[in-house]
Amino acid sequence: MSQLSGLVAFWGTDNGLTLLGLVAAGMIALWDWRVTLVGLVVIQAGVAAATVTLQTSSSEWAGVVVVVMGLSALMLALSARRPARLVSHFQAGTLSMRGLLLLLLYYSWSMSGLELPLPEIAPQLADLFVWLTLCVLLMLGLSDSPLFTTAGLLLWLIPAQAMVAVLVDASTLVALIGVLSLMLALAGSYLIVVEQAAVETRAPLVTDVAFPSSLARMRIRRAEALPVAGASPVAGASVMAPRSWWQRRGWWLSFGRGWLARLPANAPQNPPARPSRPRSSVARSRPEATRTPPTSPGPTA
Amino acid sequence: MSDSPWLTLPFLLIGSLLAAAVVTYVLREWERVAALVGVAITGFWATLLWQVDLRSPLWILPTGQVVDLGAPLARLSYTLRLEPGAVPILTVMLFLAAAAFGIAACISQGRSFVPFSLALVAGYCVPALLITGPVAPPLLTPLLLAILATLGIFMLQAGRLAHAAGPLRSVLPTFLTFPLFLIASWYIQQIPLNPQDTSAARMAAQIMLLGLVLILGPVPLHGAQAAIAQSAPPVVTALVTLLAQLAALHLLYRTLVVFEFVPQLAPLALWLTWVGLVTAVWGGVAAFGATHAGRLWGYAALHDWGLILLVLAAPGSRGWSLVLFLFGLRVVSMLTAAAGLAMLEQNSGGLRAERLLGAGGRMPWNSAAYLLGGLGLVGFPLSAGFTGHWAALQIVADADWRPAAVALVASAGAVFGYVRMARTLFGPLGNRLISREPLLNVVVAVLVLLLSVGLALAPQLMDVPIGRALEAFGG
Repeated sequence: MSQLSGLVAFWGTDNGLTLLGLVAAGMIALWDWRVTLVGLVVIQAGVAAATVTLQTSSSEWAGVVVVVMGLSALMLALSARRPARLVSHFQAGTLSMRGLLLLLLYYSWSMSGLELPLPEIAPQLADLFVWLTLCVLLMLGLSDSPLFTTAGLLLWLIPAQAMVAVLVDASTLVALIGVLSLMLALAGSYLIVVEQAAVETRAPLVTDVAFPSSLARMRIRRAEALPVAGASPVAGASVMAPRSWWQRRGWWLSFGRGWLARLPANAPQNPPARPSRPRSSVARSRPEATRTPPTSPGPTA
Repeated sequence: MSDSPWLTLPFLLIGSLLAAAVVTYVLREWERVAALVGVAITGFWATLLWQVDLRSPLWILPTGQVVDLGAPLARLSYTLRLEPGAVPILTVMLFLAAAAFGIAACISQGRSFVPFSLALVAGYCVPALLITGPVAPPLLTPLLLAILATLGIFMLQAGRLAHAAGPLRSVLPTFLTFPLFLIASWYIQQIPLNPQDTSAARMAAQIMLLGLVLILGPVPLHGAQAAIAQSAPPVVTALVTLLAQLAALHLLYRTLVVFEFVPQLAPLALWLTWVGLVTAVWGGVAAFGATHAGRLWGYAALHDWGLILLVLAAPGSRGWSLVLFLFGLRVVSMLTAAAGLAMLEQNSGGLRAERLLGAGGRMPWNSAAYLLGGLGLVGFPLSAGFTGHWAALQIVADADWRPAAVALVASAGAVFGYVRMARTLFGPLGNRLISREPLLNVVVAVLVLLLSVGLALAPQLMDVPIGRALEAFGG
């Protein structure tokens, strides 16, 4: 029990709040659905704990908002994980570009000394809310992807919930915002599924935030058009995203003796083809180099 | 829990709409039947509310039970009651839904359109009827609108395998706004504690100013309008957009009535003038370059919305009467264009210019409805919107002629876009798979065209509804 209260108190410290800000920045920098959804729950839990510690909000409220965010993240995860490694056509540039944008945002904020008029909110918590707001705007600005837009809006609801708990303290309002979170997650899940089922009928556009080097590695998957009653064949997209450096090296998969790497979702997309095994025992006894490759049935003369 | 009776008008209205939503969801395979059920229920309530006399507020149901029209429905900390100011809003919403269902009965807009729309209309009735809550109703309304905008995502996507930019962007204004109103509620609670100190009122006014401007969805938060006009079914686009904008206008009106210090302590008129002008210009310029029929319609609607925002900055009831007039004409123009566009999309298989080449020869009436409805949104002469736009430009020019001139030039850009679209539609046939329009759709197109042209020739037909709305608004 004392460990739990110590953990709750940690999020109210400067280190805890800084860690939450870094998690939000990490969500943008890595731009991966697993990191984003886990980050959402971590930030919600951290902000709820910090609000309980610094603002003396009720722990019941904190429990409710964390459960709601957990359910929302679960709903999004169920949709996002269906086709493994299929991510939005509308990517948000490279890791370095997003990192530079985050740095630019942070320095612009610290140079401008921007402070929002948030009454009754502890200054360090108010600073975190400003940073989260800036991260939300960056997420919304970087991509039209349903997953990341929904995640951005859910991130926006985290400080909103905390401020309502402090300023208004009405349980029915908390319930309404909880309903809003769940409905948003449901709608986002629906849009993720729709996006992944969409048909690619045009080449991806090269824009300033989608560099050619990224696009060159993308493989466009052309799915069959799904008939929809009364619908026109409108272009959507589903593409295979390039594996980023941290995924390629797989250092994060090595945690926990690589159990994550063995999950079906993380299995290699195109496993190397195994050499065909000769059927007869005579052929198997020959050296591999002398075996003749299987001939394909072709036109005979 | 309160002891208020269940059998009240809010309960009957919202309950019957939700029950109809469930029934039509079950019947969704029979789209026409579901749409006609929708027409019946919304048309019934719209007519009933239009004729309601709140001075004799008793209805006797066929079962013998008595309904007190003025009785509140209080549950938890929320109270719903029919106020005179809510009657025109409810009536317009219900008539709008009935008209949309009527068109959907002739041209499919997706199986889930009717049930989801009924639930959406029931939801929009809540902020109109809300009189008390944990915070003042105008401060709570943006949160309710955010929930309704989220519900609208399902309708706008409509099962189409299209990019979801439009539905996603449609929720942004309400999501960004509602926390601002809740923060403002704290400052408003501080005002009576120290009446001499205006700092709390000033801060509340500035926060609410920002929230009001955001929720009206001007440029740069306009992205949803053109995107959903491009990808969503046209009638769905018209209904969802108009309901959201009507609710935003009602919110603005209630805020200005309840919190009179907002326009005094914050430069609301100045902001509305600028965002309205930028929106009108952006709509006109973007329509100039748009070749997609749906996107062109969306930008024309954006231009019209910008003009409404410009007129909102005009002081007094003169501005509000013109806003209501403009909005009424906007409803007619958007539904006219939506009826034509839906048929064009269904028969051509898409709304890209190359698919619509020569479609006017096969579908002259629906092409005319699309063009005339769209031109009504930019105030073209002999279209429904002409009188409204002309009056609006005169009011704006009374204060300063330069914004009016800029808006006029921008509307010329949108007119050019429609002239190009007319050349595409009535040019040589490029898509030989386009079929001719069925007789039922010709009848629908002729009806909406007659309505549109009738309002263009006799705009005084709008006097009675505008007058009643103004009375209810207290203008």
